[in-house]
Amino acid sequence: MTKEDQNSSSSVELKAKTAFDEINKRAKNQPAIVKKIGAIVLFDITKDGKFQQSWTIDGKQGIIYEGKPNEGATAQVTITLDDNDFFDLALGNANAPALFAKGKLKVKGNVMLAQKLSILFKEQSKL
Amino acid sequence: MAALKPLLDAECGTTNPLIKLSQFYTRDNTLVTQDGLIKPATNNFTNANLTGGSNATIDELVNEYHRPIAAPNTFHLEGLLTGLRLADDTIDNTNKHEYEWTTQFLDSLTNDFSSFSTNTKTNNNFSSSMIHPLSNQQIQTSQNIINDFNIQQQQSQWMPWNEQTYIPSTSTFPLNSNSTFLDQQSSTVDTGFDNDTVKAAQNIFALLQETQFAADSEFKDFVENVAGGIGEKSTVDAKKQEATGETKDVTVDKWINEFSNDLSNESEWQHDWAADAANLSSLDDQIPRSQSWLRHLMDNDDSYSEYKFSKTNVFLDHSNPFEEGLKRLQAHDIVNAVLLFEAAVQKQSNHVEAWLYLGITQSENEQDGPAICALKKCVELDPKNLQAYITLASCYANEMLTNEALDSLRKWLANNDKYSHLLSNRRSQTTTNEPRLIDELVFEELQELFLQAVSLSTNPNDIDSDLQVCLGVLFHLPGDYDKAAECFNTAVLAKPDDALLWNKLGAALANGGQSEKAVDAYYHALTLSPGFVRARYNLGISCFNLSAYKQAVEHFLTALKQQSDGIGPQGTHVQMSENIWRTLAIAIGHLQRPDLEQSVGKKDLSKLLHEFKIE
Repeated sequence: MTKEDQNSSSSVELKAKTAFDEINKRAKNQPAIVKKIGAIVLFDITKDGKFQQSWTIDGKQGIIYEGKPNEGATAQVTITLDDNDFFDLALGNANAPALFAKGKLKVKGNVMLAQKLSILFKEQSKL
Repeated sequence: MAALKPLLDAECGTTNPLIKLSQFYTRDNTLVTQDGLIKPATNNFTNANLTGGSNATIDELVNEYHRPIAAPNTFHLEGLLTGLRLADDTIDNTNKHEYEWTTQFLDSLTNDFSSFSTNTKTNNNFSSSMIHPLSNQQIQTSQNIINDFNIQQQQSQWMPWNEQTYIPSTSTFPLNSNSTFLDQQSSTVDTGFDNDTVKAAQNIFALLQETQFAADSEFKDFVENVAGGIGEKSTVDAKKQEATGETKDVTVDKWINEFSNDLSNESEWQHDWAADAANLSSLDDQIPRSQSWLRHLMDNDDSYSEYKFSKTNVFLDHSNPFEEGLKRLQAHDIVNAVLLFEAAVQKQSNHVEAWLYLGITQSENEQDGPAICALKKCVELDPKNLQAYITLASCYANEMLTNEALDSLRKWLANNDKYSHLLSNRRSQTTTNEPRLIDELVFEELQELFLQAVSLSTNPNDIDSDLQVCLGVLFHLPGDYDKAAECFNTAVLAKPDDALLWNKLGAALANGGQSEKAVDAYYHALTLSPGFVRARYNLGISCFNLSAYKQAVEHFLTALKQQSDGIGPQGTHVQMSENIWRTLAIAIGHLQRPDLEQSVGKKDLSKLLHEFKIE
């Protein structure tokens, strides 16, 4: 698995890859979950300030893949954050608003759409 | 003198430390006078900040709306940046505004200190009393203003209910915190400002030179830069967006085009910007903007249009299922209540109350899908049913259907005799009949309306708990869990015996990461209503988040057992919640018991119950 990664992304190992694999696993258990996001979200993962790799969460098609959005799809939200922070976020150890407030997470686009991502990261308690 | 300066000087938009100190003192007094009626029945929420805070909050809210916006001191930065932005615009009112804000700025500098502090006192009550991540920043005197302001603006994306929005926006100072929707990044692209802006900045700079107000701050540097013709244009853009956010789409479009044309350099920022503009104008594939929201609604309509009844319902032949249902509900037997209400509506399909209660109980039963179906039927029959709308809002919020949740909240307001006039007042400003395209606009508008509604009650002891719930759900939508929890807490103070409210409080706390407090709230809910499946499920989730996996599993299993008890012991067509099974699977995964994972896969409930010794 790692060898492939080093070919496709830059030669830096990203925790984000592991995280996205986990998310995909979870999504498989719950097919409708990605569609619940309903929008196309682009994650730009950086490391030490430099851009490393993108992942696209396509809430319309219900798929998650590495790289920028495919042909014909435009991201409605773009989130930029560091690899480590993303890992914390994905584990549910950090939450997006807090990261945002600390300036660690940058959002471009419809913020409320971005909020929906939390269902991918941890179990939501129900009102 | 220099040593005292940090102590006495106020940073723009904040209050000086000495005044802050006195605030705490005066605030405490407020707490005491309201003490008798506000102290909750149990002691786990004696966190003075949480309870007193919310009352002081409401108080302050009321005051905000009653007090004339005298000193624009707190508007400083916005005014300046608005001025900069307006100066930048090619819209006609350039000159008028330039003078206006200059005058205001000058006025503000000569305002006496006490008015400044009273205004900001209000603001700071929020930052000091609430669980506010930036409260520390605001207290530090050396914090540079721009950062403060930027963070406030950006932070407000996630927590829109920040101090600035309490002050009713005037036409000159649009205070909506939507500022950086389209471009959150404060990129340091050096795009040139045009002459007007530079002139304006030079004006400000001159003023700053004369006063010790923002002497060594970065704000001054910023202005200096702008005066010199360079600087962070993105901040200005942020204000630009903010200004036009409230006006109609046409203006936004025009502005976007204007803006795209104005840019002279080919930086990546511009490319992204144009891309965003394109996004904005074609939200949903090729569907015209005004319809994309509608289509989203329609898409979801299909999944909630028909209620799917339980296949085996022992109560179908019951003589008076509705009455019996109510009794079971009273006895906290949620699951059987569900079945009884199902029977009731099957007997009489236009029974409004039966549909309503079916919806409510299904929601308590951790089945939001059926709940939404039932509630939609209810409002079809009775479009003024407030309880249905408020429950719908919670259900939609749980399902992440933001637009629908906002729509339900709006309908609650519109059909509520106490507050509907607020909506009609608003109608004169913008045409609210057509569906709004972007979540945030609707959200901001609703937020303002609800806050106005809260401020209507002059008596701090008269808490409209339903209103608080609506406000709580509203804040929950963009992830502002702390504020949501505050609202639910206030609601609970008014109705401490309402298990549903305790559960909502717990959920908001849990989603905000406060798992221990959440557990406490859930215990309250379950003590009041032991058959409350959802609360038990939530409790399991919080245990999970606290890494108490075995306990989590036990709670999930108990919940599932309660659900399966609803139908006869054979239970082949048991309507158990998929959510609970799914989360159970994840929890069991953490227990390192592959043998159990198989049982979960097969949904072999009895085996699992036996394994964990649950009767």
